[in-house]
Amino acid sequence: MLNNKDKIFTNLYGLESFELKMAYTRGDWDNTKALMAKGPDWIIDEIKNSQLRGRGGAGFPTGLKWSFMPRDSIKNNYLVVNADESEPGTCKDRDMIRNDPQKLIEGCLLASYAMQAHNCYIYIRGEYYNESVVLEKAIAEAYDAGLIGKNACGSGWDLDIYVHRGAGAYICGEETALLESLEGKKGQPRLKPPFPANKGLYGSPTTVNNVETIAVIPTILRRGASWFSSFGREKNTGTKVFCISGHVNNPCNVEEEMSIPLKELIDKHAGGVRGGWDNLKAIIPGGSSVPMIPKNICDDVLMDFDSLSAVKSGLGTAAVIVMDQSTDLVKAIARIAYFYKHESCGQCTPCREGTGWMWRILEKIAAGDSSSAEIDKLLDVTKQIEGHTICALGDAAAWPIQGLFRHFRDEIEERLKKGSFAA
Amino acid sequence: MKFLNKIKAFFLTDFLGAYVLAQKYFFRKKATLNYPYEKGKLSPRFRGEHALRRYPSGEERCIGCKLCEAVCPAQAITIETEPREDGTRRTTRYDIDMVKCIYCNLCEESCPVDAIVQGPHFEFSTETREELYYDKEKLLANGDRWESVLSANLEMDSKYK
Amino acid sequence: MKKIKIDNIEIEVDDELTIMQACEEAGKEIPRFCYHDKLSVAGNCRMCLVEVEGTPKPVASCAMPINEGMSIRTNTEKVKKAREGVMEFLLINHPLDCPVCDQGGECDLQDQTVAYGSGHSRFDENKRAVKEKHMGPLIKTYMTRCIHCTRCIRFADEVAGVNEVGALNRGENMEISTYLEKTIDSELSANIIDLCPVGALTSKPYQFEARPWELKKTETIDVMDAVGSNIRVDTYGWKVKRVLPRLNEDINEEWISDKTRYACDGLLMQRLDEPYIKDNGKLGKVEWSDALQQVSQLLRDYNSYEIAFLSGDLCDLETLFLFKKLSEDLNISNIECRQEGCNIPFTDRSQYTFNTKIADIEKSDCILIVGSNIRQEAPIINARIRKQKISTNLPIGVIGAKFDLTYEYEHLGDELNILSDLTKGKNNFIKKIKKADNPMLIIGNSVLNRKDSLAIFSLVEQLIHKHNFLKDDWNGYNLLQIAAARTGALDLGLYKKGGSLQKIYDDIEGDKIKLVISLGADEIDYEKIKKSKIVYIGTHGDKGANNANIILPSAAYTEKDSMYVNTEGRLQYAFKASFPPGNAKDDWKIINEISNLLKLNWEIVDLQQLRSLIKNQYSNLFEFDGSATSNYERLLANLDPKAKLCESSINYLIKDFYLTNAIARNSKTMAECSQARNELSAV
Repeated sequence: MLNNKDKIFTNLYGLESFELKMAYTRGDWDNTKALMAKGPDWIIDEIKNSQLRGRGGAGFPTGLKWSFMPRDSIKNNYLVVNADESEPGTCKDRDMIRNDPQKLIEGCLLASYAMQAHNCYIYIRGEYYNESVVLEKAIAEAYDAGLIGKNACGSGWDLDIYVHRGAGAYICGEETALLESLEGKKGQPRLKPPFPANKGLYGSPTTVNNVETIAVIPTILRRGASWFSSFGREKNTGTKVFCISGHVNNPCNVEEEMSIPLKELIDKHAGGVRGGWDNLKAIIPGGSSVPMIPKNICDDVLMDFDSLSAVKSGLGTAAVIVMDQSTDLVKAIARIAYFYKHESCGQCTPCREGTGWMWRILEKIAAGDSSSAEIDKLLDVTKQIEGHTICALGDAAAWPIQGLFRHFRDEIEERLKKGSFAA
Repeated sequence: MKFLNKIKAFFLTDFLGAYVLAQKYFFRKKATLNYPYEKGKLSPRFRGEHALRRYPSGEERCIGCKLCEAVCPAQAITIETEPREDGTRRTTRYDIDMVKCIYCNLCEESCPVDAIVQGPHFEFSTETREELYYDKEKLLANGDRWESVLSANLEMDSKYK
Repeated sequence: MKKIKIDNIEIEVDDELTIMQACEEAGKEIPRFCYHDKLSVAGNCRMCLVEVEGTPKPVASCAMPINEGMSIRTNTEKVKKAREGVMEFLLINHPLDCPVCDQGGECDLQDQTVAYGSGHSRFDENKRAVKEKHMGPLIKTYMTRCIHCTRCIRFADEVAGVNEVGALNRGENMEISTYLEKTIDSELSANIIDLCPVGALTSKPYQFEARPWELKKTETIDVMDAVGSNIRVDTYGWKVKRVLPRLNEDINEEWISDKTRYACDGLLMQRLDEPYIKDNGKLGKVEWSDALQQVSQLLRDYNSYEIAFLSGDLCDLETLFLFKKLSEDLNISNIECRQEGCNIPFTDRSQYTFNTKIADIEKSDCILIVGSNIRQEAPIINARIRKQKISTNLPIGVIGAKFDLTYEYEHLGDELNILSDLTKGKNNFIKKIKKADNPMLIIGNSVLNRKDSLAIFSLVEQLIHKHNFLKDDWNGYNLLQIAAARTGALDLGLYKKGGSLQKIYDDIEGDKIKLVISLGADEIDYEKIKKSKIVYIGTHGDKGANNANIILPSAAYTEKDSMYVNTEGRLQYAFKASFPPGNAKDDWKIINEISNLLKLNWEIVDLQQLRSLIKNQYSNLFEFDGSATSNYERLLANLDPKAKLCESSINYLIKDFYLTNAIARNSKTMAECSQARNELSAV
């Protein structure tokens, strides 16, 4: 349970204005110059010590990621902030951008300084028009106050931040597809290697980080790595904004410490599962890309990266989608499969052809027009997609289906046999 | 022993035995069919004269894929193709040299659209060799003439294919 | 060199290779659809997945570079399952078109399914269908069959330089299209038919004509332009069904121009198959013996100064040799091979060949093009220049009209006195030439048939001698020939010192020349020679035959064993793929028979003997070794200071790319292409 004094995003619900003068009262931009004076190496070490892991879904240790950036390259380094929040169920970056944008901007400065980048691009999802307007205003305010731009905060480091709006593609949340889209080309992921840290935006070393990851940087540096790592378990430290939605009484965004038990999170902050905890059927803990977990696992699982992957799920973006007993899980997963089919970029064969096939089979199962052999075929297809694609969208399409049948296969086969499909 | 053989030879026992056998079969019902008035039963898979079939709408089935030409062990089939007026793929030339043909039915097996088939007809001898070089016209005419039998035969065999 | 293990076999390979290339060196075949060694790596078919020990997921071998000590497995269960999986995905939406698809028998998808697929289908849903797209008169599209390997897109972008093919929509609705549904405006457009691994892009003129297994394949040389692209001619009986490229890294890599590929249907049209003699204005068929008698009679009747020998663009070396021999034995000095009217009195081979070999364009770092529309005159060479431009961004300057060459260049201007500015150092481009280590100059025939061509040529000579164009291991001077026969004819001396086509026209006009023997010369202006008697030896009923008094039919380039010298000066052997129609004979045999009737006692009985004769006399033709030499013999010592450049703008020789020779003019496909081009430019 996180105390209010330990919360990083003090204006997550927008009770105060986002403007710079209010941001100052929340502690943003407090002596940033001194932080920068400690040098980029100190910043990277602090972040490494804090054991901060990327908040965009993959959970890669951020300090390690920053240390991949070359210091002495003849090319410009770039920081790109991934504000293309398209993962179904996720809505945390939106609140951070429209209510507390100065945290993000300050984080951009500190992160850019740490990896010696003079240019930062914020790629925001095209549908977030209002949020992008707010962000542009906040950036303009920061420029005017001399916080960014030439000699940012008087530290001697120049930083320019640009906002680029996307055009409605989930795939552009994938880092290399995002870079392609930023360069003006079709948002199709690149092959890795070469990695963006070597060859990223315009062929230069680039780091792509999520909004939340960057937005917590100033607070970590100010309050210390040990403060941050005091929350959560080893290697799963810090606080996280959870987006709880679905069949709960009070869907909301809430900032909590990592490794909080899932039951506690839902009961305390989301008003509990609709109809009581026993009315729960399954939860997707990290956005639609991670496999679901049934109630018996939800009873005692902790919300962090490692403990969720131990139960064959994942923390992802911490978008908790709660489904109670009234849910037709097959229809739900079929809808998710349709999302992946729609959002596939079409570059590589398994995803382009496979996502459509999986959706169609799931629709047949949802309608009752299927058999156990078809389920085996479907699972085989998911294994054929997983790991064989250029980017992780293929894996993300395969996992929910695997999760569904891992935990609920018997129930579904029963229904198919009985032939009754009352939703 | 030798003595017994001499007696047998003296009394022509072999001849007698043969005569009795012949008389036995003389009065028995014969197995011979009185061809051409009586003919043997043919299986639906019988491999006789070739024919090119059509769809029920009248459209010719053959699309000139040349699989039959390629598989024919005797290289008896010659095909030339061209786009037809309406853009579809059809043959301009489809000849089977019935003298080269070994009637193995590989062409029918390889045909993806059941165009070339072998029908139950085998009494098509001619007086000149040239007449046995069937061209597309002849094969199509065959097909039209024999269609009812051909489709019946194909149906009977379809569940084994 | 790095040491790696492939299937537990240790090998040592180049540092810069990818896993796929390393496996090919080790002899392991890796299936692929989107990878092509002349195009950029896409890595999107996922068929080349192999297992690298230590990584959890299989990797795309076409994109992953090798590391020291890597251990690669290409035959484990995981790899087999991955291949079967990808194959299955490719086939679920692929239509069951094999019997009606032209690619059947040479289809990558068919071959790899048999080798790596699972053998049965599990797909019970409906397959998608895609509308056909219009890509011009050469490319028939069946986009339902497309497997989205994107080879066509990458070819059009990178090699052809026309960004007209792309992918629309996203996910399973992805379609490859030109969007505007117009002809692909490139001379190399039909190469995407070869690239397409399935039957999505097929050849429209060749549609449904034949299956690959029933064609006879002959490897020969192309004569539609002077590049000498290596081709493979596929014939069915005597008909040439199609022409495909052969790999030759030094000349045409794996590409051929559209004209090379499709002019072959002109070989079946308007062929001369019998000798004809014009009697009272009407042509009548005659026997060979009569025709040859008449010709030899004519040659005896007229004096040697009253006869002109003209040779054409498609003549092979053996015929040209005998033609020249005939002219020498008959003392005929009026011999001309330069149908475009070039009037430079060449003295050495280096003055009229493409000295920087085509492959060595990739070593150049500055190119100056004078009076040549390379894109239409030699599309293959243009593609090579484009390749060098993309990889090194070298400065290219063009003096002449501002054509779209598919790459960026500096247009120095239209007037030729820019050339004299350059020589004097006055133009800015000279700085770039000075900085270059391996500069190239390409001059075209369009500026060498004018009154001031000698002045232009001497300016060029001055320029190349002043700067780095001629070094020990580099010769940057290039004259781009347009006709396949030209370099060989010039080598064999089929021109008069100080002579030109214009002079022959004048002599005919002035009644000095009364008999013209035209060996396939179809590009000259027959109006100007109609006054004299014309004997035409050729293949098609084109301009020459229409104006001739005696017609002797000969064989086209696919119908004889012959030799051609390309614009680089490289001798190549062409082989007989088909046979000439009717009573047409090989050209050299016709001239040989004429010589027999004239009792010249050549005693040539077969081709071998003829070739050894040529080798004895012109051994340098056979000694081409492909390396650049700096031998350049200077033609003109000094520019005549009073020689002025004309004001007239350049009159480019090629008016219509698709109709440049007799075979192309009689080809239905070329006529369609020409019409499509005109429609494009009208838009």
